Order: sequence, then C-alpha cells, then structure tokens
Amino acid sequence: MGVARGHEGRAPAVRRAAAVLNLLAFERRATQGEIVRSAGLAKSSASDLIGTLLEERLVARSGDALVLGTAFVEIAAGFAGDVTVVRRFGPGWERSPLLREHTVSLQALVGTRSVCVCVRLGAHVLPYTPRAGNRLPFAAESGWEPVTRTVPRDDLLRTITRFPEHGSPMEERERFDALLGRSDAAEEPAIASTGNLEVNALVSMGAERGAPVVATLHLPPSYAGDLFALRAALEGLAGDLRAGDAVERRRIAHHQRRLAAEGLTEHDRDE
Amino acid sequence: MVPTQRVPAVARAATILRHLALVGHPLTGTALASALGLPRSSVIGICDALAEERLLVRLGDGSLWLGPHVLELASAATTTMDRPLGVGFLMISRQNSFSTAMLDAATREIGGDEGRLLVRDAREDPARQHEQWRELIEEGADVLIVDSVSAQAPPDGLALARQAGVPVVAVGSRLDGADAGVTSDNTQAGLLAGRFLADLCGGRGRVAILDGLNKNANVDRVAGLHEALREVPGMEIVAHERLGHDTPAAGERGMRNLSTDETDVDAVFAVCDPIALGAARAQDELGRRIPIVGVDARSEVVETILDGGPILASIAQDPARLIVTAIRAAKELALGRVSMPRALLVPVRLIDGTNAGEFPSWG
Repeated sequence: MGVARGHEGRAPAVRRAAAVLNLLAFERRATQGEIVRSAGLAKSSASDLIGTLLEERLVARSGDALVLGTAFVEIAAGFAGDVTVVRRFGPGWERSPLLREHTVSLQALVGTRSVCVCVRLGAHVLPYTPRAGNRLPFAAESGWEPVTRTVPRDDLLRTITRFPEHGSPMEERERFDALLGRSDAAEEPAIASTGNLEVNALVSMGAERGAPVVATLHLPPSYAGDLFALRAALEGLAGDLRAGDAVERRRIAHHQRRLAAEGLTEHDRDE
Repeated sequence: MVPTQRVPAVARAATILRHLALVGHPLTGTALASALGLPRSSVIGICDALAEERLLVRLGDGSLWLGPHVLELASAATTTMDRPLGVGFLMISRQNSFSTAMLDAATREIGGDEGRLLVRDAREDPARQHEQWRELIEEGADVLIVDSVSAQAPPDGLALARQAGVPVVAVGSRLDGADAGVTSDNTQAGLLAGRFLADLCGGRGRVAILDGLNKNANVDRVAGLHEALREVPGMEIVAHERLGHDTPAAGERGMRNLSTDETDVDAVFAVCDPIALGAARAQDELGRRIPIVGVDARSEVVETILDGGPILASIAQDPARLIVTAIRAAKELALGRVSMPRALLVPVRLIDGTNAGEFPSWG
C-alpha cells in the first residue's frame, strides 16, 4: 500500500498523498498512526501532508480517525458537469421503492467510452456488475450500445470531439460518421454487450461542461417484471437529477469568489 | 501540538483536479498552469504523478482530464457512512435564548464527530433567512436544519435545497415540504396550558392570547389552547393579539393593547416565554396582576413562577433535545435513509409552582 522511497518519481508528495487516499479508500477509516505505518510515511512529514489533505477536504476527521473527504464527490462531478447530479443520485435511488431493488448507475459518455460515475447495487445478480470508474466503449463496429440511445447524436459528436481518444483522429471520426449514418440504435430494453438488460434515461446533454450523462437501469437478461413501471421510475429519477443546473451556476460563482478572495498561491511555498 | 505547514505540491494537485472539474473539459498542462497562475514545470510534474495514480488521464491530443480513480475515491468517500457532514443551521435570533440553547447543543453534537456547523442568524427577519438558505447551500452544507422565522418556507428555498440534494429538517416549527420536522408537541403544549388555565379560573374565565411569529409552532399552540378550552363551557377566549414577534417587546405591546382596549381578562396565554416576560413587565408598570402561562420554561420564567407570578406556569420544551434529534435525523437523510418518520414530536410538560424547583431550566 505504501510508496517505496526512492521510486516516487516527480512530485513525490503527490505520490505519498495518493498512498494515503488509497489506504483510506481500502480501510475506510484509519488513525494518523496507522496511516504513517501502512503508507510508509516519514513521521517528520506526515503531519504536514495530512494537514494539507484535511485543508483541501480530501480527507476529513471522524472522531480520532481520518476518512476520505467530500472533495472527491465535487471533483467527480466534473464528469457530469454538475455536482448536484452526483449528490442527489444516491438519495434519489434510495427514495424510489421500485428502483432500489435494482442496480442503477450514472454513466457519463466521455469521448468514446461510457464511464460509470456512481452506482447503487440492487438485489439481482447481473452478468456484469457496474463499478464506479469502469470505462466501456459505447460504440463498436456492430453498432451503438443501449446507453447511447437517449443521447442526441449531436451531443455524442460533441463528446467525441471534446474528449479525443488516442489513435488517428480522422480514423476515429470516420468510424463514428459511419456509425452515425446507421439507424440501428438499439430499442429498449436492450441487451448491452456486457450481457445486462438495460433501460436508460437521459440526465444531461453535457452541452456546456462535462459529458452527456445517462441514468442506466441494469437488469438480468431474463428479467420478467414490470418494465413499464421501472422505466417511469427511472425517468422520474433522471428528471429529479436534471433540475440542478441553476444551483450549480451559483456554486461555481461562489467557488470562484472564494478562490479570488483567498489568493490561490498565497500559502504556497517551494518544496 | 506542532503546527503543520502546507505541502504545496499536494495543494496544487487538489487545485488542478478541482479546476478540471469546474471547467468541465480537458486542458493541456500549459493551459492549466496559465489558468491557475502556477509554474508550468511544477504543473507538468504534478500532472504526471496524478496520471500515474489514474487520477488524471492523457487524451489523444495530449490534454488532461479526470481519471477513473477520481470516481473510485468518490465512491469510497460516499460509502464511508460516518463521514462528518456540513450541517447548516438557520436560527431565528441569537437574542433568543431558546435559539442559543439549540446552538450550544448543536455545537456540542457536531463538535463530537468533527463535522462542520454552518450557522446563520436571521434576527427574526424572513427575508434575511430566505437569503441565508441560499448562502448555506452554496457554502456546501450537506444538510439544512431550519428554525424558521415564518410559517412558510421561502418560495424557492425548498426547491433550491432539493435541487442541490440537501435534505431539510425543520426544527422547532414544522415546515410544509421539508424532508422532516422535529418539534415539541406544540398542540400538547396548548392543551396543557388551556387545562391549567381552566383549573386556575375554576372553569369560568376570560382568556387573552398573546401570539407571536406567524409560524407553525405558534399556530399549533393556539389550536391546542382552543381545543382545551372548548371542553370547558365556562371558558372564553376574548382576545387574540397577533404581535408578529416572539420577543419581550411584543409581549409588552400586547399587554398594553389589552389594557387600552379595556378588555376584561382573567388570564393570559403567551405563545412563548419572551412574550410572557414582556407581558409580566407591562403588568408591573400598569399595576395589574393577571395570571400568565407561557411556553418554553426558560430559567427567567421558572424563577418568576417560583416567586409567585404573575407568570404561574410554562410548558417546558427541551431545545437541546430538539436540535440533537434534528441533527441525527438530518444525518440519516443525508445518507439516503429515508424510511425514518417525517414528523418527530418531542413531548412537553407543564412546569408550575409544584414542580418548578426541581426543573433543570435552560436559557
């Protein structure tokens, strides 16, 4: 778990900070002493490092222990263009008696991949269990994945352009131009290449920031329940998540005012 | 304790991640350095380290974007069930000892788990409190606890909180549309006060109500009083002064109004102790002595009860228990546990000359 000293490369403090964060992601909570031991930190610098992580809200105190902080939720919101979408997803899923029986994820279509931003797991066993951070291609020669079905094609093109993949840009573009010309977008519910039966609802088009975001309901391929009611519940969740844009603008303005007031590099010192 | 020093590379790494999240699209190392006013070489080195940790990814054109490990850490952060929360508390007024007793208890409760308590004082001004809803949501409160100045939530306050995914718990007085409400059993408070007054008057008497802020708690107390007095045919409500504030000044004004109107009154029900204290003060100045019953049982009133009046009783609320219950409910809601009851009523009891000596008063 620790960082072998002498193999830290550039910005060694960042590598040590990452070791602390990874430890807390695994252990969920740990005291400063446990962190120093497990992450292989030098005692002399541990207080400064943890103090900075606390100041940046990357970690937080919980009693006499440390836990991961809320800053990561705000940073993760960069995928969705709106922190409220990420914050409201879990409680929204929990509130729906229909949805909380099932696995539902938020997928951001970043470049040519569908990135799982967050997920709540339901009771059913699936061929593929989504996990936050997983990235799957959403277009292949065989056609589009169901997750793209609710996203306008212009928005798909925008994300492909905004988040360019490795490889020849022209080849990539030609491949998508060819796919965009097709009319074989899967009707829903449809089996995804993961093997899951999927229902999708558009949350955000990602026009100004981030990427298009889709709420995806993952079902076993043989699911025989009331898909109509589930679709309505998923659309309801997506509608609730969609309502936060105005608030996000105010949050950004507040964040910018705070940055301006504090002076970004005021306390910085050279290593 | 040895003071800590900031580690600039880590602070800059956090700033880079936040900036990318904020702008919502990839940037080159040079563009990041320029936007953040940082040395390019430092930014490139930090970005390399972040990319190795999968906190950043390099895209096809060399620009940088948030990496999948950000999402893994965010997921881990949200599943840490006892993480400290930012609790926003909108209080009515620091001049009101009921409010400050809640604030003291909230500070103890939040301080115990290292969470953040963000406080705003409305100074009894609904417009100011309206603006404070917005301020606390923008400052990143995870939950809002509202001791509302008015019976109605601000027109867009609840919508704003809902949009931001911030649960709202009303405390002290219920608010329509809030995720939960934690209040004293205010109807019971009115009932107990009414029964006490009926006994005091021997079942025949004329009662004046000194009402305060237009909020649900006061409405329920008055409704409880009406219900109790309806059961006693000889009891009559002869005046209902709507004073608009829960302050001694309002109580004084109300008592003077009754005197000016020459209303024949045998007893007074004040919807809260500050109003009762003001009414008692006015009676001293007017040379009158009409029994008063208040609500709260704050220490100054309990002393008056022990001294023999004119405040003869008060219905005891427990502000510390109210706010602690509200904070715990808010935490449950913030974690998505929505199966809890929406209305939590904390019982009240009558404090009069028979038990005031043993009552652990507050305020």
